[in-house]
Amino acid sequence: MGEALQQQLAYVGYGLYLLLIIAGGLAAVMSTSLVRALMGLILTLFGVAGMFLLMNAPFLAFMQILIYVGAVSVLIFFAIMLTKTPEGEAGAENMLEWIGMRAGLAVLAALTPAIIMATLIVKKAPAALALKPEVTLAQLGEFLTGPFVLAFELISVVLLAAMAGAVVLGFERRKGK
Amino acid sequence: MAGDLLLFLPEAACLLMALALFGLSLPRVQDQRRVHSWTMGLSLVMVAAGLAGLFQEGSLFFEAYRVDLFSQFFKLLLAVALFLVLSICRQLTGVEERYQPEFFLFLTTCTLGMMLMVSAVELMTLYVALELSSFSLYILVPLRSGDNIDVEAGVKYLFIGITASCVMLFGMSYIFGAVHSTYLAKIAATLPLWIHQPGAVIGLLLTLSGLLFKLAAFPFHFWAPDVYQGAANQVTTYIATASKAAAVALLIRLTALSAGTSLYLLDVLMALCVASMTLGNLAAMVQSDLKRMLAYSSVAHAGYVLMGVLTMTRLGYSSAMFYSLAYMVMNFAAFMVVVKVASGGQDLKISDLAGLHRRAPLLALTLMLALFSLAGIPPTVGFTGKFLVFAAAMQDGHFWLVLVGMINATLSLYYYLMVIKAAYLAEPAGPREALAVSGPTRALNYALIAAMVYLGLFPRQVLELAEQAVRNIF
Repeated sequence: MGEALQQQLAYVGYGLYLLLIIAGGLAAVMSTSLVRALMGLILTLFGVAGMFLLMNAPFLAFMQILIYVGAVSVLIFFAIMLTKTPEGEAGAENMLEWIGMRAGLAVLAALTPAIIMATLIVKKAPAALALKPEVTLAQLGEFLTGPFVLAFELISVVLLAAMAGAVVLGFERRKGK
Repeated sequence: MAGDLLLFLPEAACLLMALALFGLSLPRVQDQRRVHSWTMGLSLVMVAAGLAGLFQEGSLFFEAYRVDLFSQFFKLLLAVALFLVLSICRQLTGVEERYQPEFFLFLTTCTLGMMLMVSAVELMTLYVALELSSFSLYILVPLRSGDNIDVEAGVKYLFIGITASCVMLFGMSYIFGAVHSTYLAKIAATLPLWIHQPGAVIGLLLTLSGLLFKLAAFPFHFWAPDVYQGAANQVTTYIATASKAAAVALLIRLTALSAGTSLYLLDVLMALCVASMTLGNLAAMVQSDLKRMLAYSSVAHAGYVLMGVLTMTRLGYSSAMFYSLAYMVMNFAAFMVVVKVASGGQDLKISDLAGLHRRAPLLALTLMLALFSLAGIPPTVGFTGKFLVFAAAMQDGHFWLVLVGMINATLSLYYYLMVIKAAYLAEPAGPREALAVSGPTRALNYALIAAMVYLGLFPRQVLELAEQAVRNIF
């Protein structure tokens, strides 16, 4: 493939991903249904992953899809399902089974494409333009344990505070009810 | 290695204190008194560590972390603020008893975040440290027991805080895009070349807005009244003292990056300064809740501090540093009285202060001095602070700004005097029993009064320290 064509394709890709990000963002903000808003968020996250690919950082794209699209979104789905009773559904008599089944389906629906796409990305990383040298895993690790080591370590303290806080506040609210 | 540890001493003490408190929070049954004594002891160790580390200098963590007099000054200030706030938490009436260790834990992690923040000279480290302190406060605000006002305050604080964080990150991305580095030293070297580009100014302004949120300056002040009112009195005290000092430190560090070369930045900061002062003072006049009034007064004080910061001269920066110390002392004194008078942990109306001079003469005296100081009446520390800030702005040629500041200081006198009037002249509607003031509280009161007057009359030592500290960054 010629250099010029590649360049043009990169622009097309950029436009496509940008469209995904903006459309997803709009959907997330404008939708009245929480689930639809979350779908919008997922769309945006896919777009961002695409941007990472364009910037020749396949590992980050991989992480973006696996962690954000896969794990975090499922977590938010769980939070929505557990806090809100489903409305307008027939056969709500057997709630627990419903929730269990839906949770299973949700995990399946979100994780399957995520895993397939993530493996595809890693296995068949598209040849990118020579815009920037690829940020390899080793380089990333060196950055995290070198210049950014304090920030990296600090995140653990942030997580400690956040988790302890979630536990304390969660208990407090439940007792209040 | 040992030298490095000495550099990191205040933070290490703070981290150890947080871990100890985490341990203390684990048992099912807690002895409230014992937990508090332990916390006080640990916090005293932290103050000692802060003192020991005051004149340390050096770099840590691949130059991402700078220890100099500037950072150590603020770290000592933060350690003292934490100690003071903890000292009024003996009867933690606003918070459920079994969450007491967690309450102290979050106060400590918040202080840790701020300590790291004032030393961080790399944007990512700075951001994570800022988030550590913010997260802790997001949790502390809704920890209040009782009515549901705390939930509203907590949610508002969280949303506005997250938005401010996003804006700040966006700004940082602009700076990174312009300079290709997250290290402040490198940014300071390159940014003046870029400062006339809109992108660089926008980046710097957006980054600053995250700090203006912490400082509750206009237009990021919306959370302040609700959070001040909705959070437990002790948490409000902490937000109003320690968190402001840290924000001022970062504002100084980040505005110093532009080296005063950007007129746009100056214009925007001037507009924010005037708006904060005027809006805060006007809104404070009509408040009936004491904490809400103090919240709006803090918006006004953010304006005064900004006046020192925006000069971007050594004099301006050192006066802003002095002002943040003065503000911490006088605001703490005012809030201490609020906490003591509201012994049930309730919100305090200004009218509830009626007859305070008979119920607790010492508290009334402290409150009066604190409010005089906030209004800027000599010989208190508040007057000296305002004088220094105004003088620095005047010297830099901002005559109009100083004039607006003067008018605002006069305006603020009105609502501060209303509170003093309630405390000294108004008679309570029903018979009110005398407030018991314990020995340690008495000592704290005397110490605060002494500090407010002493620093007001003899600011030289602290001011020289601040001037010396500013030389490290500018």
